[in-house]
Amino acid sequence: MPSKYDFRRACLPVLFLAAISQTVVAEEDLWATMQKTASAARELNYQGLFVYHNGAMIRSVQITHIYEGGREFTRNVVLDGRPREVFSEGDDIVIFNAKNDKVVIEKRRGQNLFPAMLPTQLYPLKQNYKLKFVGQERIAGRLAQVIDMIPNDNLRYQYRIWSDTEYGLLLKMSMLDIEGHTLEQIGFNQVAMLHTKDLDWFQPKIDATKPYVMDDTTDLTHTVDNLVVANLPTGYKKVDQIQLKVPGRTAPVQQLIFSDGLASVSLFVEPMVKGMQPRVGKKSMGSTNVYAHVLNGYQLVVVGEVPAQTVEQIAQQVTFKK
Amino acid sequence: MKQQLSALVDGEVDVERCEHIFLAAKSTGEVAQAWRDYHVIRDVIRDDCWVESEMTSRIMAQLDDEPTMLAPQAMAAADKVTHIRPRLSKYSWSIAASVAAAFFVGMFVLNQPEVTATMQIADNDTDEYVVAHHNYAPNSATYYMHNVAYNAGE
Repeated sequence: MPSKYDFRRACLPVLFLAAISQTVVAEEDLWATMQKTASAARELNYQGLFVYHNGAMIRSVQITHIYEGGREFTRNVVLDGRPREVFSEGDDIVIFNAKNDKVVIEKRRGQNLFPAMLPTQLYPLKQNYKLKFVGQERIAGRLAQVIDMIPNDNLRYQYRIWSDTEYGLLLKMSMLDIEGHTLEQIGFNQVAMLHTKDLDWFQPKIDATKPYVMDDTTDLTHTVDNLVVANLPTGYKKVDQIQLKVPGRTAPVQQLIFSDGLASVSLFVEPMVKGMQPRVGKKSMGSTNVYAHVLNGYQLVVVGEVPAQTVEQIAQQVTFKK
Repeated sequence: MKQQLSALVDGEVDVERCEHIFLAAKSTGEVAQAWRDYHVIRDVIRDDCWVESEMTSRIMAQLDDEPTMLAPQAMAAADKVTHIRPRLSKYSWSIAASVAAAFFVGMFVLNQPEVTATMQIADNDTDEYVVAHHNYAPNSATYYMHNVAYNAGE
């Protein structure tokens, strides 16, 4: 029947356009959900238990988070393995780390810890990932929207996020390799909103029998030098450069940090001194890839939760300005 | 020991964890002989007919010809042997290369960049860098992994 074919032919472009505009709108909506998810982790008050899986390693962590007067207060208690408590107030992080007969206090800078994994500035992510709505699932007793973050190239992994349908809190996140295998997963087993603004929980469990010592092995100074990484992998930008004083090393180690908004990579540079064993080669541990080589008398080591290709590309692009 | 050696030859164990087998292979004649025997057995099983004495004698002949034993010649010898046994993967060849090096040439073959470029870094070699990365890089869920490296370092 020719008329039927004509009708189909006429309908096809219309249907096709409708499909395209629908995905465009949907993706904008999904980015709005992402924005809500990024803010919710920072602005809501909640308490819960989450589990982090990476390869064979599993850690349970108890989290309490309160947003009060524009400041964020978080306590993370690592429940498996060695006792460890992590306190953060805004960007300042203090860690109480039980090590044998003493407790080491470490200071850190701001990090995007779960569930505040997504950056509040989504622009860099929009450049490097496409969003796809997967469906709805229940996580930790809450209904969640499942969204895939699909990378535009093979220089980064794929992520899947579960965002609480009501509150927007990130309930779960997983990292997948190019074949779709889960490399890393972090998610709530149980979570509840808090209706108190009380901060009496914001203190470590003090063990009076142990001495508390400050960890001073690392010195954070922001530096600039003659190091150049000419062509960074697409979408990656240098976000920081710090200088580490490592015990047993005569010269400080430079650490350059690159990020595409979500994944991060460190480049370590240190002068080779007599007796230092050169490290050359690559290694893969779960989601973390390492690439080491020696250039102009410097040891270079690149480490990141990115595909092997990305760490290798960064290592190959390092040059020294005259 | 022989059981472990057999597993190594069959590629069932991690090369990086077999330092002690290489040491034993170097030090005791029995294990060294077993190493050669197992390779022959494996090759026969895999229908990879290759005569063991041929490799040994060829390498010995090469070495006799070159008493100064410069590293590039050592590499050339290694390359030639690779051609004799094209069925072996690069990875399993690196096992044989390290043992051959330990037997006949000494350690300096390992210092050749051609060999090291494809090498895997030993287990604990870069731990401190990985820990530093997890400590100072943002967006790192691996932060909770910290404990593992800490335990390994003690």
